[in-house]
Amino acid sequence: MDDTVDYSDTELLNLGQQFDQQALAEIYDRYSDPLYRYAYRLTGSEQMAEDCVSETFSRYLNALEKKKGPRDLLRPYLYRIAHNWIMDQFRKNKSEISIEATTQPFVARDQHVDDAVSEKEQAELLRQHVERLSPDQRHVIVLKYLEQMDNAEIARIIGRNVGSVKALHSRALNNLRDWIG
Amino acid sequence: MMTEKKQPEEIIEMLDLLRDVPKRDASRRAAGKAQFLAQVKRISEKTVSISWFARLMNVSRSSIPNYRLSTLTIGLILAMLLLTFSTTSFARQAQPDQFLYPLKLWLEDQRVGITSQTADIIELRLDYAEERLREMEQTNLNLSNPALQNSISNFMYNLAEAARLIAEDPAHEPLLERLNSLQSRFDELISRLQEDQEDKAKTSDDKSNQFDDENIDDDREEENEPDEDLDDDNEGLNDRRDDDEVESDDTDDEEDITDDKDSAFEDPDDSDDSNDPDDGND
Repeated sequence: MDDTVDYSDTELLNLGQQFDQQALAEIYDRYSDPLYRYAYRLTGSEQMAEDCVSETFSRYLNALEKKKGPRDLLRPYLYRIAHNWIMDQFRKNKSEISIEATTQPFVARDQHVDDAVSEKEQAELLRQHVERLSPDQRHVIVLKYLEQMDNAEIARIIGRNVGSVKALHSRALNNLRDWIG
Repeated sequence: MMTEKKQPEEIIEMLDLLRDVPKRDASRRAAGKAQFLAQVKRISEKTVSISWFARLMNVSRSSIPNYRLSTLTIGLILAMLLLTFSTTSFARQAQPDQFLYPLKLWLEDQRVGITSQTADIIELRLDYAEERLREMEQTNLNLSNPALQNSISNFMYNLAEAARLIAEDPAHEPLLERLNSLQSRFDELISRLQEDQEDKAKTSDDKSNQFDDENIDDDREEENEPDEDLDDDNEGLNDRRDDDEVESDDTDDEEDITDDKDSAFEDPDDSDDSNDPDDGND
């Protein structure tokens, strides 16, 4: 297989189903960093983000082995695995995440973002507000504005219909507007 | 001071602040990739031997044409297995003059070929020799028939092979008794077949003589014809009878005819003609 060939997602998906090692390596190179960023934005932890990537690809291979991998779209499939893993971690480690959130450089919740001095402080404040959102709202915001996905793809990842995605999106923005001011 | 709430577009714009994340640790990335590729290799090695089977049975995930191919392939394989099994079964029962008989002999050779133990090979050779004897005993074929000759050759070959293997190792000598028994049976059978063949030849000679006698009778009838023309039928008939009888008496015609028929043909087997199995075989 020629290393210089740029495979489409569909080609990679088909080759991956046949356990083409080069195609699977390409899949890892193409999606591991975006998945890492996605997991970090949701969890705020580098360790959890690495664990999420590792577990996502492991589950992907297990599904391929059982002939149950993605049928048509690879990216939402991988993101869905990551989403499910993160949701499981949220349920298991709910209290730990709350503690971690409060140990971050503290900015009072009612403090407006405009009052923050540096961009870094602004980002941190905003991140804290995003973490206050419900898991589904948080996922929608991150996937839509940080991963640049459309509503249909988001719906596939979080297992909801497009209407629910729109509703979650609207509520999330309203909540952020209320908190940020 | 009340701050005017931001518009959604402003919120969205602010979310860009969250776009940057800490750079991923390169060593951890490399370790993660290595772990992933190791798992790929492990699974690949495990699934290679069954991939063809998995593809064959992968009906639910295949597109419709592949589904049809899988079903067709399964059907063809089953049909071939059934054909092979049925052909082999029929071949095992084939007789020397039947179409599948060469296949029967070939299957026997293959079975000997895959047998490793010498004692088992000798047993097989003797079994097949005995099978040839059974075929010869059951057959109605003439001794000169090529099919029967083939069977005889195969018997002698199996027996010779068994004898050779027995001679090579004294441990197999107990099987010599069976070999000798088969040889005796074979000799008896061949003798019987030869006798039957000679009897048939003799019978055919006698029958050809019978035809000569009938010709004589025809001649006699021809000679009598003028008498019939001149006389009434009964008298003509009596004349014929007179030719055959030593003494004639109208009241004893039937008995006399029977006696004279016996004396004319002098064939002690005439009374057994109806039971002679060779009558129709010449």
